[in-house]
Amino acid sequence: MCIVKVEDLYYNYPDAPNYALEGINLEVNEGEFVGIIGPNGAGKSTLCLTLNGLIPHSIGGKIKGKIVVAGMNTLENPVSELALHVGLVFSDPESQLTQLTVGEEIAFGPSNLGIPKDEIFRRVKEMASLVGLENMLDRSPFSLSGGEMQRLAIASVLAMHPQVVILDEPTANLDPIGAKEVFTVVKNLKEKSKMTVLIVEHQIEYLAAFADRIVAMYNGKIIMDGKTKDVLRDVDMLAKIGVKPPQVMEMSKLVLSKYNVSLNEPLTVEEAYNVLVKRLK
Amino acid sequence: MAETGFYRKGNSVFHNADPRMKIAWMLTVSIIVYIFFNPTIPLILAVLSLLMLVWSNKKFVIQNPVAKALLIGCVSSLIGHSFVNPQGVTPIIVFGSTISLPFFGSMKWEGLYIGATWAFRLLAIGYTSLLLVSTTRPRDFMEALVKLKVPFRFSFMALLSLQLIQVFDRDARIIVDAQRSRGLKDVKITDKIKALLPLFTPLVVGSLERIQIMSMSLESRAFGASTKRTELREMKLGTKSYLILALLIGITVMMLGYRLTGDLNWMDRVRSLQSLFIPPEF
Amino acid sequence: MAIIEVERLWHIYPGNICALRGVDLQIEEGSIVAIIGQNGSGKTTLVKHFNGLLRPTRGRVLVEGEDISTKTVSQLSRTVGYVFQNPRHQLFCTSVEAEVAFGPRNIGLSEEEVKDRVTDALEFFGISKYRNEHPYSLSMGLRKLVAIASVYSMHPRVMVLDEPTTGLDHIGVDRISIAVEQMSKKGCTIVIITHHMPFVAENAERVVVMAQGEIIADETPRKVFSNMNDVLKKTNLSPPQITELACRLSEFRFPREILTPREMCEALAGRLIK
Repeated sequence: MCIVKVEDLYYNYPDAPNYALEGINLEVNEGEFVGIIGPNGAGKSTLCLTLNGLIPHSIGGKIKGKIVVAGMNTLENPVSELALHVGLVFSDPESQLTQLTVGEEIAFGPSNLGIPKDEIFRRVKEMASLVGLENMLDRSPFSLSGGEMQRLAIASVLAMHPQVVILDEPTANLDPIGAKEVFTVVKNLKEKSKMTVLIVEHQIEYLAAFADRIVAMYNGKIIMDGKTKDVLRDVDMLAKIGVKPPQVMEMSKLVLSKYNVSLNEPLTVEEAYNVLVKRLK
Repeated sequence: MAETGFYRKGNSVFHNADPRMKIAWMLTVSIIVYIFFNPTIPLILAVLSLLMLVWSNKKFVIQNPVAKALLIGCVSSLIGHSFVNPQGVTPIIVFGSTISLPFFGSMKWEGLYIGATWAFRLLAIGYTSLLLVSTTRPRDFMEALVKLKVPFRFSFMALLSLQLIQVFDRDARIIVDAQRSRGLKDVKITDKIKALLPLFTPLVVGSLERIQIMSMSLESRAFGASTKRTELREMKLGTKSYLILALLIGITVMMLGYRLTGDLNWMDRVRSLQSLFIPPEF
Repeated sequence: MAIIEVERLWHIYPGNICALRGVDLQIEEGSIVAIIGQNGSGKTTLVKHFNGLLRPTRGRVLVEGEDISTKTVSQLSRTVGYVFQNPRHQLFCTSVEAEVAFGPRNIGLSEEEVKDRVTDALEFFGISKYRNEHPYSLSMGLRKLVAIASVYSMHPRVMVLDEPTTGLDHIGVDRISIAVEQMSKKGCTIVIITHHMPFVAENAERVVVMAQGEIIADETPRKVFSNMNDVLKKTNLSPPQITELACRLSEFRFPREILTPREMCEALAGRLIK
């Protein structure tokens, strides 16, 4: 079932002459895990903001085209309504946290909607467990590590029970441990729920391991859109837009061009290992 | 975060009291000290509030800079008015001579009376406010305001400001370090003035960026969607609380009524330290 | 000649938090050193002693052979430049030009000299065409370069880069790599704190690994990354993907010390069954 459908989207930021998004067409099915890649300034964050209505309702600008998420037209519905269906996690964990305790932060979204207290308490427990913060409900968000803060931000978004979760460079400001924590949470989301996940990331090796599909953007346009392997194997196109493929893929391309041996275009260390084990004398 | 603002943890009767009661007490004291013009009633209320503060947190009054500032304000008022207030006519005579300062003249009883009245008014209101903020968790305070029909947005903003103070403090330190690493000197006063731009601009810009992301994050979670926010905490006032509230209102009304018969001002009859606080006819 | 020396350095933060436990380190002039480790390992604490931002609880810090305990941060900024992780903590001017001029002016150079320094620095990093732009109108990658240029224009002998690649895309990271190479060619000593292992593999000559306030390894990138099982496990860091693959293949007598896909490809020469 198609849960995100973008048709012929064109968008200019307020007072900006150039298109930030040019002719975007995108369809995402329920349950898909989509990675969005591209250089800085390609329009990835802009695209994310159009999917929950912040563009155009809060940010303004000139928008043309049709965006339907979870059956709702984003141009015709307010952000607060769309928030029930689409969640958005930003790259700076600290800026997303405003409450005094972890529990209250998770409860914040549902409270805004007047959801009954018992239901809220249930959701707080559920989401806290999901992200591994169940023993920290009374802690202050500011006393948490970067990874914990971002997990909290994710939990607070999930508490709205959206069908689609969008994460915009969630690990950009985190150290390796924090990044690992966040990736684990997102992986669990994919494996244990029917949630549709869109994640903007520079960590291509992570996307290679988990994304079903990759969308590559450049200069406001979608340049590539397909299965993970299909996109990441096109190293030349990726180089043109300034994206590096996983090192194992790069290596396999070099091997192919130099020795004419195919290594089946591995996406992960595991895949590469398995292939090489068979190929090594 | 626990130390943000004035709140100090504890388990006294004041810590556990409903914030609305503490707000009511603060309002009552603030009204009563202004009804009459004498130093005695404010002094009684100031001492009462001070005792409450000490009961709730023994070290707070000694350590807290605002509490100390209140005392400084109190003493300044006493001394200032005694010397300079134009209503002062009768000089204070101690051991046969007046207490005088060059250029400022001598201390007068009426001035001292006025100074004392204002000083103790300051202390009384100051201490009750400190009692309120030091024994109430910010979020409880916020919920109390919401229950008192203050729109959620305002209390949210107040809470956010408290948190942002901590963030600014931390960011400011980093910025100072960063600019010093580029050779910024901040030893002389002229240096400090020149340093304002490189120190404040990053702070302000950083805040703007932060605020932008924060507002998007809040909106994405339906902030402001409806006026019917779910209240997560039970805050019911019991019968005892209502009785105390009734008592406070009663006292205030009584005082207001008594005011109609006179403002209990014996400034013109003050001739001694005792008569400063107890009118001579007693 | 060691341009920076640290002797039995201890640093204890208020609240009895021991961040450095008797660290000894010498940094040779002209070298490119990467310091890696998890948050809390002490790497940032260590590096902040180099320009006086932090002072030792115990031990000594020597820059150019002299103990720096009597020098202020702004005095030391002439010798040791420190580029903070987030440019927004440093950038405050309305033009790139003004930003790059700030440092040189602070150290008391004449206006003539300042102008020259600015022009040189902008050319050096390839950002001359952004001279009159507002730093915040530039992309993150260019902003980081402006921040680096604004410290480099003071011509310090040592440049400390605190997480220079966070938030950057591949193009941005490449730009920083080029900048590091340029500065090193001019004889500048470069100390980089980073989590970006491929960046370390490509740029550093020496890798110092820290954990819990101590240096647990101090080797070339090749040695550090191919020692997956010991050192990196202790720090919970992962080597570049290709090195990880090479290590896993070591059972086939495959060389472990591989840093780039190209090297891997070379190493596979002649060993692949077609």
